[in-house]
Amino acid sequence: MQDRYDVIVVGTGAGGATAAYVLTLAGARVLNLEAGRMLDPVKDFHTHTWPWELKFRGFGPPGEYDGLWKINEYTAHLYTNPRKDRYRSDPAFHWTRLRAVGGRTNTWGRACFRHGPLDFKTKSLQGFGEDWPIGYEDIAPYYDKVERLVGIVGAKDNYFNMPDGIYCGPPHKPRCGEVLLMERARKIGVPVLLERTAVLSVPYDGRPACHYCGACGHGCDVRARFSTLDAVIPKLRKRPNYTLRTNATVYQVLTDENGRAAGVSFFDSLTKEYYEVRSRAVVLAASTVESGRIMLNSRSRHHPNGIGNSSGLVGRYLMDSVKSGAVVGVLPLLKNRVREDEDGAGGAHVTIPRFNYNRKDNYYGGYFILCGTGFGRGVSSAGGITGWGAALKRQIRQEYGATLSLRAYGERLPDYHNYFEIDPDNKDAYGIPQVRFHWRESDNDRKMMEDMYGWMEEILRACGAERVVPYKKYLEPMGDATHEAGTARMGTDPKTSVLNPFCQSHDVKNLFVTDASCFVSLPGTHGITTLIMALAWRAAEYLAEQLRKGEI
Amino acid sequence: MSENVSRRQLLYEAAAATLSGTLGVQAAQHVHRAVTQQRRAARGPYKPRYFNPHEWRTLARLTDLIIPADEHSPGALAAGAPEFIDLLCRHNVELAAMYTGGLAWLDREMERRYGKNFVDAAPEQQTALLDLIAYRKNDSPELAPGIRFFDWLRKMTVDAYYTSKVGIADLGYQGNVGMTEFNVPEEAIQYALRRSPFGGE
Repeated sequence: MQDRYDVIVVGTGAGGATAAYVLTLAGARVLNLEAGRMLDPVKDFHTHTWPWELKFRGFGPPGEYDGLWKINEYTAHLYTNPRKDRYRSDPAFHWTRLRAVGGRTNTWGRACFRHGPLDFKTKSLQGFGEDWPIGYEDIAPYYDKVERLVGIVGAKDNYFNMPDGIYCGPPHKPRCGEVLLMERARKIGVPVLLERTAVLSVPYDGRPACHYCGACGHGCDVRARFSTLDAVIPKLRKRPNYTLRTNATVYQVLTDENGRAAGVSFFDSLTKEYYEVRSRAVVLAASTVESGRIMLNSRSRHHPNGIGNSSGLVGRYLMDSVKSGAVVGVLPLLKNRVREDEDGAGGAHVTIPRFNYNRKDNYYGGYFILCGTGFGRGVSSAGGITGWGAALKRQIRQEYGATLSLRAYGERLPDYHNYFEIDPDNKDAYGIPQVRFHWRESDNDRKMMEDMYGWMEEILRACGAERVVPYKKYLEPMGDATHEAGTARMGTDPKTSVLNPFCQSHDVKNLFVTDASCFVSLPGTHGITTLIMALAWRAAEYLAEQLRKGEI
Repeated sequence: MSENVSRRQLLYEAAAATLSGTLGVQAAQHVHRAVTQQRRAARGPYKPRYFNPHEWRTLARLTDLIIPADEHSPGALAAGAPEFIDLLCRHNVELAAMYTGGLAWLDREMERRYGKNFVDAAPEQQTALLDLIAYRKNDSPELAPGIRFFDWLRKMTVDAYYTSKVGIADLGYQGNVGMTEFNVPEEAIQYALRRSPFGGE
């Protein structure tokens, strides 16, 4: 690591690995820093483990993970324990951190629906928020490139405002309950589409097709689902102009006498030793919150409020999908079925896309609905069980595989008052100041929530639910959808945005941010990962060109 | 047609194509499991770490009542439900306090009704009380603590049972194996959509 690098890329997840990939292939000397360790899919992903093989039956010690649902006994060793690296939030914000090569692409939801023209122009076409400085036509060619890299299966549905993508294989076939949902929901005008997912149905790019064990949320031991760990980083490590440095927790972006980015400082995550490393340009893609944290912590004479923060907007307009609780119905039509292996490709094989385009609602934006059905590995105690004894046992047996659960994820309007900032009283194990979160539920969130629960119940009734498990209407804490975005938004005016349309800092020309920080809106469309990658690809291509021309 | 492939075979093939050392890990896990089972057998019956002997007897009886063995499968005791609850109580003080309080409430209530604590009362006396506290419709200021406690106890017993080998077998779960294709038989779909006796259409 003695050389001077062209570019330092911070992070190896969706945004970081993509930027590193494009820059490396363009010939730049790239140093890719990752705060966590290298993972081994066979040892680190407990894909086939049975719950009884684990001390706490898969749940983990009670209360241990502060309600962060992705963290459980199968995955806890991958994630940052919120009780060991604490942060403050008011009210509770769910911040799910995975520090390892591949970042959160190791355990992501894998849905890859494209965002459409309306999503980039919320103000001019839908009357709220701000327009992105780019449109769908700018990003479409990069979606093409990303989808070829990722390997997505799906069907071309020609659905409104959700353009079809490039699919390497056929969609996974729907489960029995999903067929029922498709047929019944259609009758009340609710569309159900086959999932467009980054879980292979055919071998692709040297990776095998899915073997349908259904445990993608624990990571995939055979690499059938896309992660940057499995599908991008190995390609880069073969290149002499790419260097991966793991266990490097970045502290600050360093600046030169003119206030330009000169490199970064980091702590070795294991020894806590301090390092500085230099480059011509710096790309931050450490996840939305961590990239903003690095910027805010990079204070200097030239950048008293943090690097790239002359607008004061770094950390502001924090978004995450508006996420409802689950609504569960028992469908008599599915009772007492012959048992089948319905594990499938982890999660639903269908999705209910945003469907309120032609309606006059009392709120802005829209939402999609995730569906859960099938003979799962065990049953959940959450679903309204009652009574005791033989009758209880019989009821559970009868209703096993006969439930349909729905959960809605909606558009979060950008709000200046939803933000994170540096917490003056809290530092992490390396002495790096931590962030704290502030947010509030808006009137729009609550009105959308009412609509979500109303429709979810109606869909269950349409499927013939004999019983909808009693539920309370509520929204999950912000962050729970792990779709954090928007805290270094892109725009053309340096006073109202942090980055330009190429994810380049308005203030510091050789500083780029290529994760979801640049988002201007967070639509109710299923999947943001390929959008992050498309934006990162476009930014990295632009940066490579600037480097080639000697302008950076 | 879907073809089932054993997990090991699948991992082996994946390993041959892409990774090395897979079988070593699998074999090591297998040995580890076998050793753990032998150690467990050598240790004799489980000794509760949180509950006192009386509480332990009561808890075991309750979980057995909630999910009994039947002609179909073993019950909560075989699934290690009391052991699971003991483990969780050792790790969480709020949970532990709830169990101590809940079990004491049950004993007081049984004493008041029948002059005996819960576990020593006659089976029909025990089940009479469960018939009251197992349903929210019976909620009253008098029964509220019992109903709240029983709700937790039932949830945790259900969680323990359906994460155990016998519980998952009871459901008839077919998965956690490799398949080369995912197909739901047309027969199953036709059953659900057209012929289910529960459909009423």
